[in-house]
Amino acid sequence: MARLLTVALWLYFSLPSYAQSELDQSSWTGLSSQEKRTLAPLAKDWDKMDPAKKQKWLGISKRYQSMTPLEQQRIQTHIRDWDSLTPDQRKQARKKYQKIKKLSPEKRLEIKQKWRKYKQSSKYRKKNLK
Amino acid sequence: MNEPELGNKIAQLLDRSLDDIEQNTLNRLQSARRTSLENYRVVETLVTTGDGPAIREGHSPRFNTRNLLSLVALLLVLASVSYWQTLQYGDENEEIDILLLADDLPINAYLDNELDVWLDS
Repeated sequence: MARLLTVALWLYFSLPSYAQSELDQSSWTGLSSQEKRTLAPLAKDWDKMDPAKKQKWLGISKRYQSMTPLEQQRIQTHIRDWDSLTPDQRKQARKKYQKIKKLSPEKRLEIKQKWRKYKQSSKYRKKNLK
Repeated sequence: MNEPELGNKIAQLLDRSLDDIEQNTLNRLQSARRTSLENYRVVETLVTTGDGPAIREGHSPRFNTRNLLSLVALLLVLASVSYWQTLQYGDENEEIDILLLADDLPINAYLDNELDVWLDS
């Protein structure tokens, strides 16, 4: 009985750290083919990425499957830009996304159209040349 | 006087005093002892299990085994839950991040001050 209790205690303390080390060591080659396809834009930096970031991207890759082909395509386009942001910039982007989400569909469309127009403007080009 | 000598002296005094106790008092003391022994029982503990029936348990080896087995089972369940939770760990922003990534506005749009002007207008 004492032996059984010792084994249970050992499992209790070692399993969580074992799970953590499994996640920490998830190298690019260890990912499934589906995960590799989804996270392809991050392939170059994957092995150097910190474990928390890896976990987050793996979580996103799981949800990716349930999205439409158009959404999947957009994710592929935005992945690298998002990954290069600082935590503060991500926070700012989330805040604005939530603000836009609360707007009426008409107002949302208006803002998106304004953005497209602005992107063609010399003002935008000048700003992004700096 | 060291400790064993003191002990012996106290024992001698008690033995001598015992001889001086009246027979009536001795009888009453013996009777009280007997009653006390007859009434002695293993202390029982009541353990309630949620809304279910109460389980009456004494200090039997069977009870200890059952208790230990429950503890082992509990530890195994907790270890499994903890293992699963670590593997399933999700960032609290994961939901919003995936929606943001799937949106038709590019990421740099959210960082452009121009967007604030339109949002506030």
